Amino acid sequence: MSTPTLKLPGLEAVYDALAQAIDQAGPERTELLLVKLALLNAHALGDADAVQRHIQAALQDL
Amino acid sequence: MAADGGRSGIREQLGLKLEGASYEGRFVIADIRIDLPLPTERLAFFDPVWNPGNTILMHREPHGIWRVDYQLPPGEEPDEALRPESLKARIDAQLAMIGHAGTPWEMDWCSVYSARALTLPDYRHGRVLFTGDAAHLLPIFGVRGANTGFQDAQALGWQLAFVVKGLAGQALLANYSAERVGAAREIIDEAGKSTRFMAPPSRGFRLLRDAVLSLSLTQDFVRPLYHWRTSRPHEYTRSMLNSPGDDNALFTAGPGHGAPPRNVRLGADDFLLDHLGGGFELLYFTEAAAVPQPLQDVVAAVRARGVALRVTAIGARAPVQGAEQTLADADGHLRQRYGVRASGAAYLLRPDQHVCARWLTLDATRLQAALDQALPR
Repeated sequence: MSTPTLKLPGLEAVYDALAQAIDQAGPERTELLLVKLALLNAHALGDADAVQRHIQAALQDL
Repeated sequence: MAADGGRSGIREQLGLKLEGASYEGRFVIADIRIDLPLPTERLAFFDPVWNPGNTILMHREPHGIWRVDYQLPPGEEPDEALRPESLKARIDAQLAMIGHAGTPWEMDWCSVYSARALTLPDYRHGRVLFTGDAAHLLPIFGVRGANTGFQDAQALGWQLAFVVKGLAGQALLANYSAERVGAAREIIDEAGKSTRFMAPPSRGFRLLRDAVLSLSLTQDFVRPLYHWRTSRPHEYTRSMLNSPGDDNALFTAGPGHGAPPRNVRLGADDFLLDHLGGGFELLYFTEAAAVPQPLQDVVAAVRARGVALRVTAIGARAPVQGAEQTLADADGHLRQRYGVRASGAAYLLRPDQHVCARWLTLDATRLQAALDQALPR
């Protein structure tokens, strides 16, 4: 992974927010929520190669 | 000429295999005669209540016809889908869903298709030339079936004629195949994306499609993902007919190698393309009184061989000697659209009007070279 751009307090905040959003969406809508989020993040990142690397990293150790 | 359609018997008898992808989703395509007070635009319904998990498309056609395409549940056979009771129940359900239950309609025509994106790798086999659906099967998601057939015909028409008349060698038929296979592959690539959106082939594709639809209500950036990708004409960028010794790379605007010409409005109800067609076209940009004699000599020599070549002078107020027609281009709009800044520039268009050469300053030697390149012996 590249240089971290999110310091620990920020990461902790994302951790909680993601968990709460998943609970709010419910089991039926969790996948949809996460895919929408991934597309929004990819758009903000503006780097398709980086997204490919993140996909490969996420596929590990499932 | 094998123009015997998607189930081409000639293709089968020659044992030729199409290359590409077949998608599983099957659709009923039905043209119904009905009066609906809806605008002329395409309507797409994803996962509707009466056809869960599947996709429905509707659009207006001429003469009081609406086309309805609906995806069949996995495993349903065409015979079953085309039973009159089945058609009636589903079309009635669709009309009810859009608020027009009970509106009278009658069937005009219907069939079943599957989303295939396939092409022969070569449209020339000995003395057989494939064209249209016999040469390729394109998904409807792109509206390129009949359109591509017309473009194939436009390409084959002039190239076959030039070979039959002895104005070019067999290489021109190989070029027909190379150019049109390239066009089909581009369409397959783009229509494949549309197909994976309209009829997702797996759970992952369905999830992405649903996420994009959901996001599209508030996020503009996802909307191009469901664009039909149909509006860009194919360019023969790497055609062997393109002149290697011209100034193509030096232009900063205008249609490049293999591109169709840009249409330009010349006046009220008067457009550049109204003035072109029927053979090779030399667009010569000049403010002078005459086309230079050495260029006129090359034009005369190629015409003497039987090649139709028209010269159009652009940018002069009075008729230019040596040109069949002169377009004044008083406001300079045409020159601007073609990236021309000075007299002496030129474009050479093939009989299908695609650009095969362009020069900032044309001379007789390079005009001759471009004509030789476009008409391989």
